Amino acid sequence: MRLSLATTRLTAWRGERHRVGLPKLGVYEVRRRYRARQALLIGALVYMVLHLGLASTASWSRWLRDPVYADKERKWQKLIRRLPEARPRILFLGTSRVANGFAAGEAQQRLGELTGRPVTVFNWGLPGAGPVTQYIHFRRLIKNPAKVDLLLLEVFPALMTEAGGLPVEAHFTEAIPWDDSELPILESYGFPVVSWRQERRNFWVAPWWTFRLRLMGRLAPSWLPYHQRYDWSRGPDPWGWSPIIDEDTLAERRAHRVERARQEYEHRLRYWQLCPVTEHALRDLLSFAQQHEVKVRIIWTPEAPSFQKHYSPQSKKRIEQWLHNLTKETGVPLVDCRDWMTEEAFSDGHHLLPTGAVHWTIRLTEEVLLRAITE
Amino acid sequence: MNVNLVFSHLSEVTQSVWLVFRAALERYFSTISGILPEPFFHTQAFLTFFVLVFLVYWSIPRRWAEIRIWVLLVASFHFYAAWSQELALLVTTTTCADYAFGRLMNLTHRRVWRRFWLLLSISMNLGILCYFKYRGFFLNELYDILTRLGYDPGYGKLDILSIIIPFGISFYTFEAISYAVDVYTRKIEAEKSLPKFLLFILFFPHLVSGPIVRARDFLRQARRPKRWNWVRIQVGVQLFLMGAFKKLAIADRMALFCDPVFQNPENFRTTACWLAVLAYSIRIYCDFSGYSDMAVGLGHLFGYKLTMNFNMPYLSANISEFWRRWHISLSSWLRDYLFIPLGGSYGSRWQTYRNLMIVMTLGGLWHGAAWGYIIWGIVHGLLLVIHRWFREVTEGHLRWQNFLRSPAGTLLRISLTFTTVSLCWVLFQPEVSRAWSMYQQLFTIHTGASLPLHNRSLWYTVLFVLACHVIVVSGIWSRIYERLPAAILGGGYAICACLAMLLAPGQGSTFIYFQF
Repeated sequence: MRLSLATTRLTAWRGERHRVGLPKLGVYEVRRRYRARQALLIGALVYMVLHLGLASTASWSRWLRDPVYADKERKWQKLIRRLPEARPRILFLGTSRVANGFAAGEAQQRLGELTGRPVTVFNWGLPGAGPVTQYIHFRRLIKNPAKVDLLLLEVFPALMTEAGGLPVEAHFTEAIPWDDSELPILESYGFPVVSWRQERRNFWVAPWWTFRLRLMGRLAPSWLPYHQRYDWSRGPDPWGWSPIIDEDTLAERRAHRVERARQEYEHRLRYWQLCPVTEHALRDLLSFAQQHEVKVRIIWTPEAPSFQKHYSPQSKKRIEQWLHNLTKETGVPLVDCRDWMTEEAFSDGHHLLPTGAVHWTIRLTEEVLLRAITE
Repeated sequence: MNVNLVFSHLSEVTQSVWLVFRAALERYFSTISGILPEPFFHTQAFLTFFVLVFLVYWSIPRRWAEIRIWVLLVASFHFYAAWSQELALLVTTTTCADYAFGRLMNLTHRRVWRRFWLLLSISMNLGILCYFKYRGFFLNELYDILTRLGYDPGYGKLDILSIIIPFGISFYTFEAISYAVDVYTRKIEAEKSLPKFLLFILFFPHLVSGPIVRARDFLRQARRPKRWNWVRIQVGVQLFLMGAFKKLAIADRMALFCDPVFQNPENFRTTACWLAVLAYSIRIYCDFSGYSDMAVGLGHLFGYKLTMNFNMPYLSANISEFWRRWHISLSSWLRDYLFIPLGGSYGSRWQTYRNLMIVMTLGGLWHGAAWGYIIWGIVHGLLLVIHRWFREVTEGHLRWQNFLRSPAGTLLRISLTFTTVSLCWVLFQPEVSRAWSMYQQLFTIHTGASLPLHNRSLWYTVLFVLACHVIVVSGIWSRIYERLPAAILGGGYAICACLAMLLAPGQGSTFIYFQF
């Protein structure tokens, strides 16, 4: 039936060509042309389906837009599902320094031993996550029924500054991961949302291009360089800890890493100036947590002497003064762990190696967390 | 007095009108430049530009063929001017001059005048090529020689990187020269229509990186009115998608393996260097042939058939065959306009060897004004000479011939040719010192870092490329293709487009051959 319909159409088309004075085509040529047209139209249709399919999936799937967050959230939910009665629930929000340096599993076990009841401790450290990212992530988490009881908040002074007219944190963040409803918040903290909107529209124009690294990072991570994989948070630790795998203490390589950290942070720390909008985000986060009756502790994570020397005396004084005022005004205690660890415990002066991470976590648990949850 | 006043007033008005016009023009081109910043085919901006031109082109009725030509011309000019309007004007002006020289050659029958116009055309084209591309290299070399001999050159060394070389200058100057020579030798008539001649040079699919089209192939097509043909559109789409896949999914992926090693070979271990050479061979092939496929595909989409530039060169059984399959439009140009006029292979054995060496050295220089490219050309010339000598030596030996033509012998020859060509690619870079240190790493055992990325994707890509070659050479593809239902073909196109984007690793690097 279909074949005869096609043949009728072809015959009609051939007749049409003949009427307008074009040479009559052979049956083979007519079939070729018919097949070519069909193939192209079907190709366009299939492409549209694939294109719209991915774009619309991405518009609601956080797993596609923000896989690093989605990984953390999945682990956090899993942990809560496994131990629903384990209270209090402690969450540590921070940067890669927290992600590498806080062995949440160790903390959970130690706290359990010390209190004699199960608790939940989770590491929510993400690379480059300053107060704005922390605030938005915490807002998302609060929407979940799983309540957080104690929030540990890393303050990394280098992320509290400004660079090129934007908060430093804005340079580490991308346009795609955020929900539409979060954009006004980001805009109020000085993030380049206007240019981001254009970029976000792009994922409707070319979703396969926009999400290629995120998809490949899941499907075949070894096909991508480390920095493009978006699988940073996929490590096997169920408490969110991402220990530095390559615990290489070779002096030469360590010196190289320390030098790289110096290049990245020295200028910002030597001439440290507080970025007002970033501080505003931090204050908003603190008051948001307090509104939801979540206890908070601000943590200044450990730094090696080689890293601490990047602070000029004036900067150091300014930072300490600012933190003093902040804790006084908000009533949130500050835990200054800067000098808790020696140089050897670090990979590059501020990211803890696994052994150092465990030591620091145990000390933090015994000296800070235990007191905080029993208060 | 009054007249003076009027004239001065007029001049002021003219000046201000000119200033306004210039400002408007600058604003216009800066807007265009913002929309289409680089003349690359694999960007979203280009695809938008292309779709627009395509729709306008085919919506014009067939009887208005001239208007279609103008549409393509305006689009091509904008495509180039978006990158640099000054250089777009330069290309247009020289093309107009080439048109005039061709017409003048046609107007006279006197050989002296015809030769004069030919020489003028060649000198202009080569002059522009030398000025932009080779000035820095030759002046710097002269500077070094004079300084070494103790003379004061009287000028400072030029910063090569600061010299802006017009995109595709080597390609369109060769097209213009071939046209002038063909008109002179009366192989073709000089083109009467300026728009068609301009389109021959400026047609955007081949403007910046070839293939080098011949006037007799292109102008004949430009004169024919174009009809919409689904088969042709299908071929165009197919070639474009294949090119995009080669560039984005293969060449750019291979760049992840070879670029860091080629930049600092001394940091890597010997095995990593060998794998980087393999990756570079695949990269350069997929990069350039991918570009050429896209260019030919775009040509088909407007109803023009451009020369295919590659024919699976890595399956060549010897170096002569390699050059018949690699960058076909350049090698055939060099053969027709340089090798044959030099005497080709009709003279004595030594004259043929000399001609081969001259052609390949100039071919190397055509690729870039640096010693690396020149040495690369010389080495290929030597390889061609050795192959010719070897062929002469083995010609009378039946046993040798039988072995070389057997499957094992053919496989051996293909492997040997591929290895030799791959090792020559190490020279295919401006800095000879870096190539030398790469060779040191390759031929002496060194420890060091491994490849910057897991080898798995390298091997999968190599296997994929090999499988594609085998499927095409064995004829399986042509047999299957004819029988494939339209639905599977169409689905394949869509999946190919999505995969090209999905497998692209970085932000999309530029094409290697754009620098030439």
